[in-house]
Amino acid sequence: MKMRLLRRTIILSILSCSIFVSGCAGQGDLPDESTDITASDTIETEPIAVPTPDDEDIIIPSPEPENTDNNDAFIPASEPENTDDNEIDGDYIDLTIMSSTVVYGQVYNMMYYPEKFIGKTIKMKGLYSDYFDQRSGKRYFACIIMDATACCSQGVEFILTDDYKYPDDYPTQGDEVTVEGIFDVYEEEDGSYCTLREAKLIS
Amino acid sequence: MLDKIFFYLQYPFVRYAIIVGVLISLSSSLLGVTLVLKRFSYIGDGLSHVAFGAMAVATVLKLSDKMLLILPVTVICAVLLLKTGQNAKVKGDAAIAMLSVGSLAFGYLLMNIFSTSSNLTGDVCSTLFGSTSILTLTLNEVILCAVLSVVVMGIFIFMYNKILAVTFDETFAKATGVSADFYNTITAVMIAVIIVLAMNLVGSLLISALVIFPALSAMNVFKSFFKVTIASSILSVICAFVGIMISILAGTPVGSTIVAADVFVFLLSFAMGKKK
Repeated sequence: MKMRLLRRTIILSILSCSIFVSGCAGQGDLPDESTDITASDTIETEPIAVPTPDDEDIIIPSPEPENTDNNDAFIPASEPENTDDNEIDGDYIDLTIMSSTVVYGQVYNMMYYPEKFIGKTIKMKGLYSDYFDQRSGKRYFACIIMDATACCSQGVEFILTDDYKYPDDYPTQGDEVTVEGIFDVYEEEDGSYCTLREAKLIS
Repeated sequence: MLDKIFFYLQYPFVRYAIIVGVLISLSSSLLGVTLVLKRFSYIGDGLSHVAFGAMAVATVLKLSDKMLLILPVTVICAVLLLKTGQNAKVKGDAAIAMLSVGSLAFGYLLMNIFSTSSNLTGDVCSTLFGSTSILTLTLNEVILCAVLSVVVMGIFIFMYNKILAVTFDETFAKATGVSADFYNTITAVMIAVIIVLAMNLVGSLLISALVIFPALSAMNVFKSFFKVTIASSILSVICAFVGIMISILAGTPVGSTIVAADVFVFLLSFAMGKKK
């Protein structure tokens, strides 16, 4: 009798623990579903469509605000939480010195926990992509990074300074670019979006 | 190089990946010895494909927490596979192969027909090869992984003698009063949990490597169950750690780098075993 009880208890314990695994292996599970960052949807459950020069349906994670001069559209940079990330990176994060595996992890964090990175200067290297949204009549620009298997990608939108005139000063689709800008989050129509504002093309 | 390692280790997500990688590899290697000896080496592959199929169904059903479907389905299949054993009409290896390819095909078909994802290839690829999901874990996920791994290891240690008996001679174990069915069920549930956890680490196509390579490497060198289990655990942890570090430093895919390390150690142990 005791043995049976013990067995049942053990089986129940394992099954209960198994149910709790839910979040653990969820490749596409959002850490916080309340975080409404469109770019984050592109990771794994709905990975971003990797932009190619001849791909008309590319999806770039964040739309460009209609008036790039109007910085009122941006959410004021809140005080970032005091986390390990902040202590390591300081106010300048250079993704170009990291391996592709770590870059992917770091950009994932930027997309999922943007509040930790607001106001920081980010330098990143990736593939240039732009997309014209006919519905809104806006053109979006992004720097796309891929994971080591090259099957998943994430993009960070950037808005170049007024010194750059489109299309003359902009790269062509698929070019490798190095961008540097200030990380920020803004809200538009259907959600919050991450961007690098006041961005410059380093190369 | 050391500077680089310490630089990367400052990032929480790198530390999380190492912790989870080591724990999962440790748990899987413990069960790997049992599975290899029971001629169920391929069960990890079969179950991971079942998990893939279940994930596809969960995606189509738009479940917010896919694991609520994936885990029970994987556990049920694991129990069925291990419990029915040689008594079933469709025997061991054939049953695994049938489930494996059936689930994989069914899952991919469902994802193709119903998925609304803009990058289906990316979805499938990241699930099959693990991609970098191990580097995108949150603290809560790490804690859950740690708890589950410790539970699996605890149960294995607690029931070591019985599992040993059932592994080597199920009929004899039954004759001596050991409830083989019960221990087979426990093993099946543990395997399913490990498989679902390991999908994060190496992806569903490479899980088998995590289960069988450390056990086979240890068997090349040692002969007793205890020594093989200990050696298998140590080798698995070392390979997982080295694999993760190489992938972080060199920017290679995490899963395949860990498996490459496992293969290298197997070849090394094979040579050592021959020398003996």
